[in-house]
Amino acid sequence: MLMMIREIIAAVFVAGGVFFFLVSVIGLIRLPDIYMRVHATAKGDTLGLGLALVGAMVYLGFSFTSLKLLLIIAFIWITSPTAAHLIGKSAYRSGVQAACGSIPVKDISERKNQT
Amino acid sequence: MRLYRRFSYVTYEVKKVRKRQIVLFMVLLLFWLLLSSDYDAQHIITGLVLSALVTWFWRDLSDLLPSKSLTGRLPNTIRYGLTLLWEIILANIAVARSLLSSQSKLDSGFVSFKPDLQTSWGQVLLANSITITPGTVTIDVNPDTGVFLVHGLTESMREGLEDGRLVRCIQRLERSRSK
Repeated sequence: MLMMIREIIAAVFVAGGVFFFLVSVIGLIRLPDIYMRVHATAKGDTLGLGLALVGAMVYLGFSFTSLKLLLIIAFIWITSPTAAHLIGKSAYRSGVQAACGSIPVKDISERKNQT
Repeated sequence: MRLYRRFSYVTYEVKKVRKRQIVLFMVLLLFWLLLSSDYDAQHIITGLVLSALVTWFWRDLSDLLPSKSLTGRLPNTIRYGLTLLWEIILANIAVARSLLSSQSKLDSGFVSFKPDLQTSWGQVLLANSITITPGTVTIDVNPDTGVFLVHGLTESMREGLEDGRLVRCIQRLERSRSK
């Protein structure tokens, strides 16, 4: 009985992770330019992979393997944003145009009067 | 300049640096043993050698490690971590909603702003926090002026970045460390 409850919780987590991965793939196909696609893929890595691995951790219980899974989450959460940042930065530096709807000009939102 | 640094480093800081190097060595060794999860002589000796090598390799970095004891800033660090986790979950749901909605009004674009942060590690922390939060990616940070350039997926994700919850958390962390 207890095992079944744990399996159900694990399945819910993994299903949530798969859902977020699905959304990120839909975003990858739907979105028009590189800057927006970076958001879609980085998103799948953070919560999609995080939820899937948390599901695996729940399924395995308290063991060395689940500790290693936690470490995998930690490292993915470090490396994936780094990759997203570098892709965005290199695209910006080499002058990749954003899609026609989104403007490549910066908005400067400095509210100096408050300081 | 470099010679002077070396000199003062040797005379005044040597004890502190030694202590930090020992801490770093222990942390690395523990991490290695955790990952190997197999405690025979081969694993332990390999871990000892590798930890010593890495500690030696980063010897110039050890005076950049945190100077204040962990207890003073631990509550703020935990608070920052929880805030970041909560922001990531919220932003994930927001991005998923905006990607799935049929009439998407994705007005993505760049913003630049200058957050009120004193230290360079605070800027690094904020830049990485913005990047890890879905929907916003830090494109560039000017190290001299401290101006951030951020790409955001929607208008609501871009606004409130410069004085949002994360910035306030990092400011608190900076204050708790400088005292």
